[in-house]
Amino acid sequence: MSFCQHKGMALAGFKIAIRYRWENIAQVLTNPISLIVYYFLWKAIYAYTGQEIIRGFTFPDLVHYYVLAMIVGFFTWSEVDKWIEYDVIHGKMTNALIRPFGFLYWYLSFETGISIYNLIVQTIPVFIIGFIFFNLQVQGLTVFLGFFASTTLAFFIYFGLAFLLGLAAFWMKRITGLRRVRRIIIGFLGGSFIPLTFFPNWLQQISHFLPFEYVRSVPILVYLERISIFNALATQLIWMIIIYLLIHIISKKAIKRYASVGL
Amino acid sequence: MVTENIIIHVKNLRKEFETVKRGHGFLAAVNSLFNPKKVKKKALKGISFDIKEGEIVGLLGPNGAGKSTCLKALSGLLWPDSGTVNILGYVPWKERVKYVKNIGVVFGQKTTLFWDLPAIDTYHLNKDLYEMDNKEYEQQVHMLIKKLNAKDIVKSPVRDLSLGERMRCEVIQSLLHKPKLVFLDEPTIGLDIISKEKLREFILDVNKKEKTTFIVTTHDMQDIEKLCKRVIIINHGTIVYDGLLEKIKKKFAKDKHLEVKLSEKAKPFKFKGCKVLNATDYELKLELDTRKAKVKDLIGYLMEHFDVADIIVSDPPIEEIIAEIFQKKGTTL
Amino acid sequence: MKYLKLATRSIQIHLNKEFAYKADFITKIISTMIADFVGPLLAIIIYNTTIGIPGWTLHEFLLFQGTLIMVLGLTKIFILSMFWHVYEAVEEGQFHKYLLKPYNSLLFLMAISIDWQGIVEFTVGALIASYAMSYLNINFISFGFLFYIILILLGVLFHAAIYTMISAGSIIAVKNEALLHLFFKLTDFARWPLTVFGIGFQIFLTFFFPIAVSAFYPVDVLLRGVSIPWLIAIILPVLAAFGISIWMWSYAIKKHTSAGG
Repeated sequence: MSFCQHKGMALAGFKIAIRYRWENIAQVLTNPISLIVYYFLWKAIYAYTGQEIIRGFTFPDLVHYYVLAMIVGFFTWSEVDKWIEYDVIHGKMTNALIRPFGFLYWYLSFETGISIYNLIVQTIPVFIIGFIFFNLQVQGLTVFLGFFASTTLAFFIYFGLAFLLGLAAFWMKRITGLRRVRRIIIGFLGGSFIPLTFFPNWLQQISHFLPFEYVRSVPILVYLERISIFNALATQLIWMIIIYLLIHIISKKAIKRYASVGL
Repeated sequence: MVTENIIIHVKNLRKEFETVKRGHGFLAAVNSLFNPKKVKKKALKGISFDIKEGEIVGLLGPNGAGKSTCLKALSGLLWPDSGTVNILGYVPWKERVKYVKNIGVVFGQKTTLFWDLPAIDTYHLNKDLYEMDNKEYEQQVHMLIKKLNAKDIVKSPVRDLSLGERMRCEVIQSLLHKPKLVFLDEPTIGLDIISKEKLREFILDVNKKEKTTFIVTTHDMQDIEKLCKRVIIINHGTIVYDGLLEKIKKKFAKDKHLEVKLSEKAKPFKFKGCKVLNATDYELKLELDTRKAKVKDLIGYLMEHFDVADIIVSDPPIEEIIAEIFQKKGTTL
Repeated sequence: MKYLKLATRSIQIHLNKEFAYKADFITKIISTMIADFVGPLLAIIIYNTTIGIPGWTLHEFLLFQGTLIMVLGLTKIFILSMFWHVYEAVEEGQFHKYLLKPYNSLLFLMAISIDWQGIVEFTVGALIASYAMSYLNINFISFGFLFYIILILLGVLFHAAIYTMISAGSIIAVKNEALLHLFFKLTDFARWPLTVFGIGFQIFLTFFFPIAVSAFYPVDVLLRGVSIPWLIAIILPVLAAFGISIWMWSYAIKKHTSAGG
């Protein structure tokens, strides 16, 4: 895919994101309520336990964790599996397949346009809320850039996982159940609900070999300077390669399926 | 003599699919998971045809006949089991990325435009996707918008447009990158009579001026009659007919339809080879099998026995003729 | 009566549609179960790594979560889909189709919005709750348990009121994403025991936006008992919300029809 083609698709995604701006703004304004809930919950738990540090996190640390989880969540969010499901069911796959590039890029470039919009309208405001209301630490330039790079890689991994799942629609057509499972697993094993250090050790070990922690937990820990930037980016890159290799193999089969079944 | 070049060459195209046969009910579903019964279906059994630049060809056939499989092969979305396809010098599925830059598609029922954006935004996107240069794009898009009278509608979100307006925007999109070959699938579906006419005229105009080749798949017989000189009819994976539309009409128009208006009340009558399709008090609709009797003899009989006010003689609607061809299993004509 | 008939027929149609996608049907059930177990899993993790939530043992907290899931399950069965029906119809400008039937519009929508998936959720919640209750040796023949059931139903009633209000809101003004998101997010407060939050929040969530009646108060009543005056004080806001929602709905319908749709 050439840059010109990519730019075009991303621009289209950006334009559509603009048209749904009220939805986005509403999310930005209301999602911080979860932060308030977590704030009170953990404040009570820490007070009750009487410890200052639980599993490596102080109470302020944990609050910062949740703020960053929200930021990373906003930036990496993708619904490409829902889009593919819709296109398959409504017979619109031809539209994506008849382009002068692979159909992965039809969706991916489009999504990058939406993400750039989200970056401006969602992640930056939440950063500001974090700095002002929750005392989020302002990090140095290296950490910031490392965080940005890690979150970008997380975006591609998240998208890749969702896209792989979307390919299941070529066989199953409706994949609402699978999509729900994906959201839960990525949320849980990605560390959206609680930092992974709270998990029992055996679960932590397993999750290192799964792609999910690289989607949320790793970028967050980069910002909190709890893991080295190099380690983070390296492991994320490896997972990216694995996932996109899988995509390459399975999407070929998906197109064969499309051709034979007349979707 | 100017030799027109062949841009689509299809020879012996074969495609077989393996599908899993599923029964009904829960037990059958479980069974098919462990013991899938595979059924082979021959979608295309050796199709061959050539299409020259600038032709408008109708591709007809009942559903499941192999039409869409054929179209997928022509658009590069499918690779056949055997046979050759060469379009504009490309083997579609082998050089798909380069090849698709030369084709356009219009789907009557499914839109290829972005639903939430004005059509003009999708056109800008296409300019980037097909890597057109700015001047060329501006010229082309303005020309198409002007010709289809779409200046106001391309600025509204597609979701706010009526079907007719949307179709015009779709057609513009398909022709933006100046493709040599355009696939039209049900292009006039849902449109009112005037819009249909205008769209057909536009297609004929583009075909004349740019020598764009069109392949039309439709169930609207008026589209076929007005647009396609040549039709290819596919049934059961083979070509049942490939030739001029006129020839079909002549060869198959063994029947003639007569609409008879009377000045007196109709009486029941019998005439060899004549079937009464519909009869009211002062009007008869008749079908005559011209193999059994001549039209002039029937007219003579009617004028003798009835007080005839008017008689109109016409060919049966093309749908009937085509439907009859569909009935023939794999025989060439 | 006719609404029951309507409801049964719509469930049949719905199920037929679901069976067309068999694999998805099964994964939906499994995925709902997995989703519901996330809460209890988090509870176990919290209680493994800390002393827990002040004032609540692990099993008391599991009872809390099980109760919440039951309420959410019941809400899903009877009310949730109604909102989406209204939302989609309003977006397409087709809301009047619900007014053309010889039924009360609200009851009609509820009858056609029965969603079987809520049964899965309710069952999971009931399982978790009964496990916790057996561990805690709850006496089922008691006023506490009776009020527990009553308050659960009131919790469902409050959810119904919220969704009716949001639906009414979207009939009047098509774009009200902010309100929608706000309500969804406020229900986050119901996921944890009320006592965790500051006193200001507690008052708000009991009397002004009584979401706490979803799970906190039923369990609180069951475990700690309650006095009648306090019970009435909790119930009244829910009934008020219900009344307001009905009024809002009628107002929305009136406005919609008088505006010519």
